[in-house]
Formats: sequence, structure tokens, C-alpha cells
Amino acid sequence: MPLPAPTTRGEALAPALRSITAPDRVSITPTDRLAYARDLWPRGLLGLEAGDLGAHPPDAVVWPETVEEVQAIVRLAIAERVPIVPYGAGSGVCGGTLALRGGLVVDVKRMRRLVEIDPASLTATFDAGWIGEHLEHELERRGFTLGHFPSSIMCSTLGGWLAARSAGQCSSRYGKIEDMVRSVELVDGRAEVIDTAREPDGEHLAQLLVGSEGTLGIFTRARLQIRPAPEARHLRGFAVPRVAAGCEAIRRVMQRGLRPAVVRLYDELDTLMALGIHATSDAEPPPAPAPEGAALDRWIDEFGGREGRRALGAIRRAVVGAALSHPRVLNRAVDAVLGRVGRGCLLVIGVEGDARLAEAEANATFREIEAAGGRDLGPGPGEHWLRHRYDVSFKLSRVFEAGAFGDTMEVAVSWDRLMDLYRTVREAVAPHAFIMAHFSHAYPDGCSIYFTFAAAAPTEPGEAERRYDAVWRAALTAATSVGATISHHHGVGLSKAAFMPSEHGESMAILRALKEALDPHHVFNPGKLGL
Amino acid sequence: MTLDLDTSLTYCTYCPKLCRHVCPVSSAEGRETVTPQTKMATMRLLRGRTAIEATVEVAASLYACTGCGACTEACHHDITPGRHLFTGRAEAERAGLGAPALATLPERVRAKAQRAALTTRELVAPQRFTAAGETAYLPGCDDPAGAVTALALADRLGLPLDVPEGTPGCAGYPLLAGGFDDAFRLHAETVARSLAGFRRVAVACPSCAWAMKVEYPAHGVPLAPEVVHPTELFAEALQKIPVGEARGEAFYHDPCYLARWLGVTEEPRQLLQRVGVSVREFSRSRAEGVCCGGGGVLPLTAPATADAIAAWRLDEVREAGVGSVITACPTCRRRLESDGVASRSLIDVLEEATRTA
Repeated sequence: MPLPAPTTRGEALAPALRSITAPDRVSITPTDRLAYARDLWPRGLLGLEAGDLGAHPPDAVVWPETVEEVQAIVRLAIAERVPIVPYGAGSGVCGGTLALRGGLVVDVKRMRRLVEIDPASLTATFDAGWIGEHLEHELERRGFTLGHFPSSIMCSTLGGWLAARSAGQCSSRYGKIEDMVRSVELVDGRAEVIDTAREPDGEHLAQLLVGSEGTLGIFTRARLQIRPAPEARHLRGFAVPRVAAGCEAIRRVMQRGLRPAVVRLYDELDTLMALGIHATSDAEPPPAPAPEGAALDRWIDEFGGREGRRALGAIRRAVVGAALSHPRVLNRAVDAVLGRVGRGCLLVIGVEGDARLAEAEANATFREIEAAGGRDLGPGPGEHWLRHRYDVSFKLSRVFEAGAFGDTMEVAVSWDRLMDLYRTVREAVAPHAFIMAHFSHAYPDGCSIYFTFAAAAPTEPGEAERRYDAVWRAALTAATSVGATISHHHGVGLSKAAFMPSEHGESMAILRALKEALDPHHVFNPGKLGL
Repeated sequence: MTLDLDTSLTYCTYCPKLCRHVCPVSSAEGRETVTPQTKMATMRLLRGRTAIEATVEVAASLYACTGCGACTEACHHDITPGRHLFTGRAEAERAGLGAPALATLPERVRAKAQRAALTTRELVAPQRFTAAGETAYLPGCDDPAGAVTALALADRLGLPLDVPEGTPGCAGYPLLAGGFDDAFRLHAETVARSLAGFRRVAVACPSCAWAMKVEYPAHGVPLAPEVVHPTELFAEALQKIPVGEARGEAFYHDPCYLARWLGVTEEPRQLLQRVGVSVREFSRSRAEGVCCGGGGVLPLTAPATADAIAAWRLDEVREAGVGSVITACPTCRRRLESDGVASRSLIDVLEEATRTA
């Protein structure tokens, strides 16, 4: 299979780019261009086995180290009318970094100065190229935390977080990234440096740029609100009889003014998955004792017992077997089985911060959940979650290796329509893919739902992509029909771009006006965010 | 369950790059092409049924790895890209796609090993060379003079230690890491023959210690003596080492092959504390330690990257103003030499402390 040949445009641009940066920070080689030809949008992985190496290699990749270099690159792109795709770590799952029209991928990972930590103001200023785990590590070893723990923390950057309005697992306490930003620095499509820290109201102006997904410019730096590392953490699991009861408990907690760091309600199936309950069949020997030993067994009894184990075994075998090709039947069967053996849903909730405040907040939070019908399971399920909080992404490889695909959709809506959203999306997706969900990222006025899909990936050319597209079309149509946002924190990118008008209507004019003002030559990330 | 090579390559291909944050090469370069995921995906493409056009440039990413094993520590599937990529290099080498920078590696390794053996021969008393004994000492090609220090320390502690007669000055790790499997096997046979008369062998270079312990048998070369690292050997005599007065503070850098691949993390710390060194821990240490950039023959294939990794490792030392880093690997010690930071060998520190105690 031939590699992508160097393009005329890439070869023409390379000398100028090298004079801006350095020879070893510009590449037009086939291997570098291939490495940037896809991001982590699952659709882009579907053709791999058939030899699709990535449909959108850029003409060149460049790694600037300073904001001046970024400016010079943008000037060159404007002069040559070449598209620019800003790039962090490429962990986006919506195709937001695909170079649809070729051009330059500008990878900011070599911009990684820790500019300042201001302990008096509790702010920290980082360059945009910091990998999330490195950033949090630098803060932690100095006694601070950003409080931002997306499941992509190992493979995403600060710049990417800002671009996509990222959310972490503790967002209900610390907020999403836009709540942590105090100012941003961005090189826009005029090659101007916008530094909102220079404005008296910089925090608010920054909000116009955060979430722009590379369509207005390249984030180069940000000042972030940090916190003292929490002194205490109280994690607790509760059993609630149904999804709706769990949502009601969360709503009461949030509307009482409490701010738990962790709020996660799993639906009946996701409860079994989240607890890591070992699937068994009658023919199989009992599972090896879990690390949590007797405690885990107790939770298993809470949520399904021996029958639950068998049911989960059947479900797992179905997911990696032929049954995944018949998702409607599979979803119905799972609902029926869970209706028989399922014993409710798991709600994990955690409070952290100053020791005395956290204790008081934990008491109030846990009492509120009990008052809403939650049954206290002790700290075990929460500690189990904490130990395994990043495990889920490791499961993707198994899904793809089994000839299937998996994806997730994070949508949000106000509390009054939350159950409608849950039901409508499940019903819409059920004919196309196996589906489960959990509820996290809660607010006083609403909550996000995180749906997980899986479906068989047919091997006929184009069939897997058709099935993938059908799942997403059904899911997004359903979500917008009940007034939900199409993205809570993954961004819009390419995959959801067509649904931007149906979500935002005339408000799209604001985004278009911003685009015209800051990127008048339309060099930045064409085809994304519906712009 | 250990995954086989094919399954490992498939899992990595579909992984969302969950170990990239611990990879020193991808952190230093910031280039997607050298994340562990991309390197493994490239290797899969090179050997797969839909093989891409194989070129030296495509295979080059297989060489962008120090073999440090940090990715394995981060992987929930226990996949070992740091070892699999050496297999990929061997396949590339056989296919004529080897790294140009390594074209003469076998000759260079042989020459360096000969020079090292000669240096040791010149510095160590003739009566300490023997073909058989309790414990043989291999100082490694990066510090052939280290034999003098190690023998002096062993004598002081009453530990039987000799230099094996006729052993090459290197046990062959660079050949393995460079993808020269056949040369490695031949070299291993020579080393194994020369050590047949010993019960144990203490190998100063952790990467060669690992190669002897794990890769010799895997390449069909049985090795008679048990392989240990000198820190394990000297820790056995911990109680004989006089408790030292306070000798100040120093960072201890865990060599990757010692800490991660051989699991030796506590002995070096016990020894340093015994002689009065206050061990300052890096914020990432032991099995989570960060590489110095010296493994996997990276200093030959990507010297600027190797230097950047070493500089990155020293950031915390400079920031703390401690000014001294001690390690238990001759290669790491050399890589961590830098203006304003004293990089010292743990055995040198022990020898000096016991000499003056």
C-alpha cells in the first residue's frame, strides 16, 4: 500500500515554515502526515482493517514553540490561503482535528512552559501544549489541583480542553474548563495575539473563545483558577430503585446548594458494568475473588447477585458475538433480563475539600440522598470507582478487536426533560446499537447523560461507516427533539456539525460573526463546528 | 494474562494513546508519530496483511523508544511496547530497513566492549581475574573503571567478588536494542561461556543485567550464574556497612531497567540511607520513574531527543537546588551529567563513604 506522496503545497510551504521555526520542527514526511491523518473519532478507525490509513493527511505538520512562531505561521497561511488545523494531542472523538482540505496541522505540544503559579490569587498560567496529566502532576506536587480530571487526562492537552469546553469527572464541584479559565491567549485568523488578561473583563471575553474548536485561532496559553489539594475526600455508594429516583436525588443535592465533586448515577446495565461484576455462566467456575473481596460481593448481591452475574455473562458474550448485529433484539433482551434480575441502580457520590467543610457537606449530601430513597452502601463503591476511574478507555481496544465499534455521546438538558432525553435517545438508538448510560456532571438546573453505544462493524466496504452514521443520526435527532445540547464536553467537530443549526438556530449568527471578525480569511479549521 | 505480540499490536492500534503521557520520547518530541500507540500501529502495518509501503523512513519510528517500560506500567493490558519494538527493529533490520545511524552498530559494540575490557584489565590487579568463583563482576562498557571501586567495596565488606577472565566488556544489550538479534545471540554465547564457572554475576549495567537474565534464555542461551545487580549484592551486606554520618541530600534516579524491568527499587535507597545520604525523591520515582534518555540506543538514533529527555529529568533537581543526583547505572550517570548538577554512581558513593567511615 503506497504512502501519501508529498504534496506540491507541502513542498512549497516547507522552506518558509522551516525558516519560521527550525528544520526539525517542520515535516512533510509520509509517516508524520499519516500520524496526523486521523484523531480518535471512532468512525476513522472503522476502515483500518481494510487498509484505510486515514483520509485526511495534512500537507505539512509544524511544531511551534513560541507565540511569535505561531503568528508567523498564521501569516504564512493567510498569504498562501492554506488551511490551518490546531492540534493538541488528537484525543478528540468528533473529528475536530481532521485536515479536511489539507493544509497545515499546527501541533502546540512543544509550547509547554509553566509560566507562573500565583499562590496568592490561586491561579496558574500554562502554555497550551501541556498534556493534562503532566499539568495536574505539576500542580499536585506543589500542593494544588486544577480539579479537572477528564477520562482523557493522559492523552489530551490544555489547548484541546479549551477548544472543546472539556469537563472532568469532578466538574460538579470544580466546574468545566470554561469555569476554571481566568484568561486565555490565542492567535487568531488575522495573526493577531488576543490576550484577554490585558482586558479588565478578560474572563468574560475569554468565554467567547473557549469552545471555538480551532475555528477562530490557536490557543497558546491560559491562566487557570487552581485550588489547594483537597484535605479530605468522602466517597459513598447508594442503591436507588430506578434511574428516575437517582436523578431526583441528585437534583435535590444540587439544588440545595451542595457541590459534590463526584456524581455518577449508572443505569441498571451500566451499574453491573461499573461494579466490574464478573460475568459467569453455569458452566464456568466461580470468579476469582475481587480485590475488594467480600465488600464487592455484597454490592453484587445488592444489584443482581448470582443471576446478575449470569445475565451479565450472557450480555458480554452477546456484545462480542453475533447478537451485536441485531441490536434491537439484544436491547430488548437485556431490558427483559435486567427487569427480572436487576435490583436498581448505583449512585456514586463524593465530596472533597477542606476537612471540616467536606465532612459537613458530605453529611448533608448523604442525608439528602437517603431522604430521596437512596440506600447507603458505604464508601466501598466510591473507592472502587476512584481506583478504576480511567479504566473504561482501555476497553475500547477489545471492542474493536472483536469486530465491533464503540462510541459515546454526552448530551445535557434541564432537569424537567432529563427522563425524556434518556428514554428518547435509548429508543432511537436501540434498533442500531447496544446502548447503556450513566448520568454525571450535574448542575442546579440540569444534568448530562453519557450514553455508550456498541454495534457490530460489518466488513463489507462502507457498511460499518453506514451503520455508525445511522447510530449517530438517530441519537442526535432524538437529543435535539427534546431540546438537549448536542455536546456537553466532547465538542462538535465534524461529527455533530450538521446538527449545530438545529440546536442553535439563529444564535448561529453569533458564531458566524465571530468567525468573520477573527478569521476573515477562513484559514482556521474549515468544516468544523458547523462554520 | 500476557497478550501475544499480534494481539498486543492490535490492542495498541485501537488504543486512545493512554500511555503517551509517560513516554519520554513522545513527551520530548511532541510528535504523534512517536507515541507508543503510533509506533506499535506502525509495526503492525509493517508486518500485516495490508502492509504499507515499507521504507527506512517508516521503520524509523520503531527506533524512537528507550525501552524504558513506562508505557507498560501505564497499560492495563500489561503490553510491553518497549520490548516488542526491539522485535520490530530486528524485523526491520532483516528486511534491510534498519536505522542508518546503527549501520555499523555490531562493530562499534564489539570495539567498545574490547576497549572497556582492556581498561578494566589495566586497572584491576591481575590476581583478581579468574575463570571461576563465587561472584563475577561486570562493570559495563560505560564504566570499565568501576570494577576497581566495586572490588574495593566488596573487599571492605568481606564479599567474594572477582573479574571474570575473558568476558567481553559489554553483555550485549545494545545489539538487542538495535535489532541485531543474531549478533546478540552470538555475543551472549561468548559471555555465557566465560561466566560458566561462577555461581553469580553482578552486572553494573541494569539493561545488560536484564538482557542476561531474561533475553539470554529467550534467545536459547543458557547462563549458568544467577544474575544480580550490584545494589542487590551489596544490600546483602547492609549490616556490615558502618552507619555513616549525615552526608547531605541527593536525588536518587531509578534506572528504568533496574526499577521497572528487574524490580529493584529499595536496595539502592537502603544503601544510601545507611551511609548517611538523605535521599530526595523525584516526584515520579521507583516504578513510575522517568527515563534519562539513554536506553534503546536512542542516543545513537535520536541524540537531540535523548538529550532533551535527560534535561527534562534534571528539571526537578535544578528546581530543588539540591545539586546532586545519584544513580545505579553507568549509562544513566553519564546521561545525567550536566552543568550545575553532580551526577554520581551509587557504588562510588558507597565506596567513598565506607572508606572514610
